[in-house]
Amino acid sequence: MNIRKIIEILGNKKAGFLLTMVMVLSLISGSLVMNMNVDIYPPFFEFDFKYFFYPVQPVHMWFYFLLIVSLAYSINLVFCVIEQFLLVKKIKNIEAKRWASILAHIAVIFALIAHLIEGSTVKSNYVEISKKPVSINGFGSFYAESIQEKFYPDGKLKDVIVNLKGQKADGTEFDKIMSYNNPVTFTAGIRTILIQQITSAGSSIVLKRNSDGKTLPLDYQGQIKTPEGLLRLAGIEKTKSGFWLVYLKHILKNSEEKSIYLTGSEDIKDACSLTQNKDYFLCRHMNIVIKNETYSFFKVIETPVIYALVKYNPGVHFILPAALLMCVSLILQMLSTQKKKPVL
Amino acid sequence: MNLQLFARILVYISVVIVFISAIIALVYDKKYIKKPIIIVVVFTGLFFLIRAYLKEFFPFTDKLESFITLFWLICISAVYYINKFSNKEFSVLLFLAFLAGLGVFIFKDIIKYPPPYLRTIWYPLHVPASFLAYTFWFMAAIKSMFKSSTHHSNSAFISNLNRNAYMLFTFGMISGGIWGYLAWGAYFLWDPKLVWSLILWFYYGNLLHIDYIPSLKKYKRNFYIAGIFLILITFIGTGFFSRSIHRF
Repeated sequence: MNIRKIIEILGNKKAGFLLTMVMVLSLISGSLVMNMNVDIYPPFFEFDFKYFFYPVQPVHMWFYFLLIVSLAYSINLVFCVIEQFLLVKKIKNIEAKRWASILAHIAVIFALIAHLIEGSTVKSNYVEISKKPVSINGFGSFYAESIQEKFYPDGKLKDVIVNLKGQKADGTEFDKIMSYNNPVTFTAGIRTILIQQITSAGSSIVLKRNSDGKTLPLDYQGQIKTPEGLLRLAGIEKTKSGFWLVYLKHILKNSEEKSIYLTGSEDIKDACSLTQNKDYFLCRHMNIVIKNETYSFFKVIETPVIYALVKYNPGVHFILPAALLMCVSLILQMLSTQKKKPVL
Repeated sequence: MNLQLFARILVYISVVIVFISAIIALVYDKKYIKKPIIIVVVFTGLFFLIRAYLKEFFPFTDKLESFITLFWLICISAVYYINKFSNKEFSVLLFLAFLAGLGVFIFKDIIKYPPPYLRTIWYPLHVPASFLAYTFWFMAAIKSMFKSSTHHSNSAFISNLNRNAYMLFTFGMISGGIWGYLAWGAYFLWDPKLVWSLILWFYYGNLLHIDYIPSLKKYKRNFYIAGIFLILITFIGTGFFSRSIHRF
């Protein structure tokens, strides 16, 4: 059997037609299975193969079948394109329509590769972006220099403009604007930071001097000098009862660190539930002494916080050429429909 | 009378005109109804202009607008392709438009500002392109329902409709994919609407090849008629009976 015959068999149109129909049927069954098993398939979950293999479950059978059919379909598609190319070599005046068809098929191959790469390598997680710097592996560290909300006349949220500053994983500084439908991207689009929601959280605290009531503000970037060392803000959280719990770090001159928890809650158990520490002693710091003056928790300043999705998807580098090839194919197809005569 | 109510009344009138036109096409001749359908297109176009003005955005964001968009696109396509259809086929097409138009009597008419996710140029490109593709596929299915579809010229017209629809839908998929990447960091997710869009894309892409496979060509009509159910599930099923983020 010569190579030409093998190409003809593997790129058979009828086989391709039937394989596509089987793929359609497995997608239909997958859609129904996903809709009926809400507990297994969370709504709007991403294209991640690991989800289907760790662990392997009978309920994912439709997906395993889809993978096998897709593989057979891809082989058929590749040989179909090869066959088309061999045909093109023979013809002198090639219609734009034929090129459109070849490019569309190549675009589908690129799209399939993109999905294969995405499915096996995609990683994502959610982070809260505020003035407090956050560090993500591969992305570097960043924080929101400013968060500006825009509203409609009826008070509903229209957009959020975030000035994101930080340092990439390679050490270079960046200063970018992020908003809805306008993510911050790195590594030519492989890594993205996207706004998902906006909420509010404590960004800084105000301590009150007990003797005269004078206030002392402290945010994540700031520090207070004490006779023993430096006092820094390390976290602000809300208890189940709605009281603030402030976590401070006292860095002593001998580099030793001490944790201090301040709370506005009188219920120590409630406050301690957030510290995940059973040692109630840690939660009993209702006051803190700085330069012989006793300070207590006064209030928390709330500012907007971005609930963002941080995503790593190397498949992007294949989906972009796929989209581009498909667009060229569409244009060629339109030209051939209008002229109805060979243009190439 | 406020603008919102005025816009709705324009569609009430349009839906009634389309229903009467469907009967006229069936009983008399479609040549009498071209002008009334053009009036419908203008009235519904005004409806969208008014809503765009009130919402300060493209008006394809809720149930009511989605159904009226389909109604409008079917009417526009009907006028454009009027000579390609027989009286019966045209009547069925208008009846389909009428069913879509009934949405104006069923769904609540609320003017809401769009959520931040929708505020992108990809949204107004994605939705009408996909809906126009649905319209062309519906037309191909209606054409396939009647015996005349076996004639060579009609069969070519069906394939032509599918090619146009497929190009539009592909454009809709690309624009939707770009939007998805910018809004959710993903051009594809296991969302029912996205899965069913992919189903439609593969299904009708496959039907583009059917003319080149002699042994399957005899099933062409059946495939196009079966396609109606896939479109209905994609357009209505996933919108009402699934957990899709595209749910109306």
